[in-house]
Amino acid sequence: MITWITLYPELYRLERQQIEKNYPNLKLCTSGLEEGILLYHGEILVRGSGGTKRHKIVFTYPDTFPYQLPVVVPVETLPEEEPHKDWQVKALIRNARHQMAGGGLCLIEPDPFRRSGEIIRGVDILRRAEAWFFAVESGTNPYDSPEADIQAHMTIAADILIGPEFYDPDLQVGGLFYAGFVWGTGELQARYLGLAISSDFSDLVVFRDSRKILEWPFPWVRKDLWDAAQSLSQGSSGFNELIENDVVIRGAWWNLPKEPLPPRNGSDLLNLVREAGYENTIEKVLNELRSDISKKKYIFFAFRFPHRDGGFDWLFAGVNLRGKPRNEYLILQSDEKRKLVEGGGIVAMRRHPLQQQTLTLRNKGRVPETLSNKKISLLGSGALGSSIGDLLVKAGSGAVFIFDKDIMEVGNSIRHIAGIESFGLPKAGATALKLIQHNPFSDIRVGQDDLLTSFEILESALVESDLTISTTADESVESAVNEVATRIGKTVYYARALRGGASGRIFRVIPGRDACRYCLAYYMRQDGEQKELSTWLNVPEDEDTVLMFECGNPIIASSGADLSLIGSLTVKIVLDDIKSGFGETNHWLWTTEEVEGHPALNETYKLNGRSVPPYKDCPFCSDPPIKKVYPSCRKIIYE
Amino acid sequence: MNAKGNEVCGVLIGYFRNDGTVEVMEASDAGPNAKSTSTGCWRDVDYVQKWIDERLSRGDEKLRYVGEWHSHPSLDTRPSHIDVESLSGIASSKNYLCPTPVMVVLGLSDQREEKISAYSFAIGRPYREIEWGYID
Repeated sequence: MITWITLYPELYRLERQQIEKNYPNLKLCTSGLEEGILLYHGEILVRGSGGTKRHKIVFTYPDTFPYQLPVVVPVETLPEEEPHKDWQVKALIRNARHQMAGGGLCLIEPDPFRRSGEIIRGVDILRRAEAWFFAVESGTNPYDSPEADIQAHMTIAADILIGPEFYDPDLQVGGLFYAGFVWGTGELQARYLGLAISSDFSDLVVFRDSRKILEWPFPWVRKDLWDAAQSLSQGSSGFNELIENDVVIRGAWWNLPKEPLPPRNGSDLLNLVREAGYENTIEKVLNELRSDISKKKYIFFAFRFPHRDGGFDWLFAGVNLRGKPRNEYLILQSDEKRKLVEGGGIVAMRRHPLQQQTLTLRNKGRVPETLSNKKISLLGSGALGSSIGDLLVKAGSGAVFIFDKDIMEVGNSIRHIAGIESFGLPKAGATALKLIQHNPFSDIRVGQDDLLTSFEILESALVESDLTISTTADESVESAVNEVATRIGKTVYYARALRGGASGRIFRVIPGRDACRYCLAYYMRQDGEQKELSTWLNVPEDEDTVLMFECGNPIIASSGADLSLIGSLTVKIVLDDIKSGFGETNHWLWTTEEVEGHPALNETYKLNGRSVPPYKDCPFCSDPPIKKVYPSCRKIIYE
Repeated sequence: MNAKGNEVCGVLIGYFRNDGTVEVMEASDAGPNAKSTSTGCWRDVDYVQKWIDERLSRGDEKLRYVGEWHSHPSLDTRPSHIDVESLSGIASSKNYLCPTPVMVVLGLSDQREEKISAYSFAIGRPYREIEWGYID
């Protein structure tokens, strides 16, 4: 077996030397070494105000050290002598943070900015372990980073997604929550959707349903789950079958005044409720969940507490009541129910918060914050358009309005963000369904009309948005868009793949400021003084470009990789423009293959940008001959 | 709108300024033989011609026919295709001697709300909505 010991013998020698010199109370485990594992067991000494304390640990180097760090596990007992093949490590689990469910201490968090080649040594880990023991003993166990939340210290048995409703500050004290089974294999290895939550223990009972945000991203989830949550919260028994079959689970939740330490059993959970001053609600819960307690293997509790960065955080836990569910109801007295819960071990449900601010956290500082207020029209949702739409909602666009008259063909899936499951759907709708799954907080609307049916339809596609991106690559549509957009003063970006996707053109038209499509067509025809610009703008088509037709629509062969690149460049240009206030550059050319004789596209993988001004006599975008009318007085208008 | 709720209309005279603006000095009514419905207004041509001639003969050489005005029975002040056809015809007509006429549309709702829009017309280009404002 290849391990770090065989790969890096010098490092192995140094590690042993350091550990055995600095920690003489740790004994090398020869039984472990026989199996190729460097492992120590013994005591580390920690000096505190009450004198020196000894802590039993097992210290193990992983096979892939130094890429993985050695693990310290506090243990109840140590082996007496070597060899000790029958000795089992029994972890000592403390009610403290920085200790994972298996007992291992989490002492050093991954640091993406660590210098390349820097190694964290075994002695560094042991020094951290000493600090952890000291902190636990003195009650000063520090919080870990915000990312390493409380559930990371517990055994995870399921996942639950919760929408913004679960964070509503109007939900006071506590109550019941409902979650719907989405998918899973095996017992509790499941994924749930938070359906609804209510504050039943508060004087003011508030009910919040997550259907509005979560229904669209999960179109395959049974509709009756959403109805069930509302119905059950009103005391109806109409959906009891869903509870019986664990399709819907319900649990009790409470607001806690501060973040708890990781609970280890049912008793810890009830203590948290007591400490928060809600002892009186425990009896209510035991009664409300009596059928679950008497029959099911697990019951569910959840705690909402202040997040370290503001707002709320959640801990969802399942209390293991028995080895397997009972077939029959068991009538239990109140104290029996309480004992059953207190004695149960617990598992955590990993909570996945779906809130706008956490969803776009990974964009922070990299996309303009004003994007969440921007409405963007997307004309065309083919391979290029759908990629652009996808990136726009991922960046956090406030709204994306998608217009496309075509239907998804199976062949589209090879370049489109939607797959073959979308065959026969309108392309705009198929794109919208994908976009919603990436950002349900973006207002996504679709239009399936042919934009050339009427100028009113075309105008309505542009008028509500702050800017438009056209990817139709259809001369007629884009010319009409240009005319309408310049007339009503709307900014449009036109993105198009050229030369079978090997090259791309993106240009922006802010009416009156940038060259419009008509101006560009004019420049492309010019010679003389405009020759340089004309040559730059004219990108010759590749003679090898393959043109096919499907249902009468022309299809130019190009790869999804080419189109994604052009889509990414388009969105990046739009985002940078929004961030920087729309700079001078308004025309960009790009190529991955050299275009012989072209002044800009003779260099590959370079984005070439320039500013192209409006043609002064352009009938579409130049100023009209009369710019303003002044009636000399109101009387002229109203008399 | 007139008392029957029909559209009203007329012509505008004023000055074309060098800065690309038009100053409207007077607006005519449609005349006694004008036809007016809830969707259109056809002015009394003879009456309006006399009205223009009389004002342009007063000695102010810069005073010109500058365009048309009419009302709409709602706040939708976009020009109808009849409006566009009419003003484009004026722009290209030798009789009017006005290649860049303007059109002012006054929209009035049932609730007496009002909206005014102005448009510029010229030969060989689409019409364009333009700004308007009173001279203090």
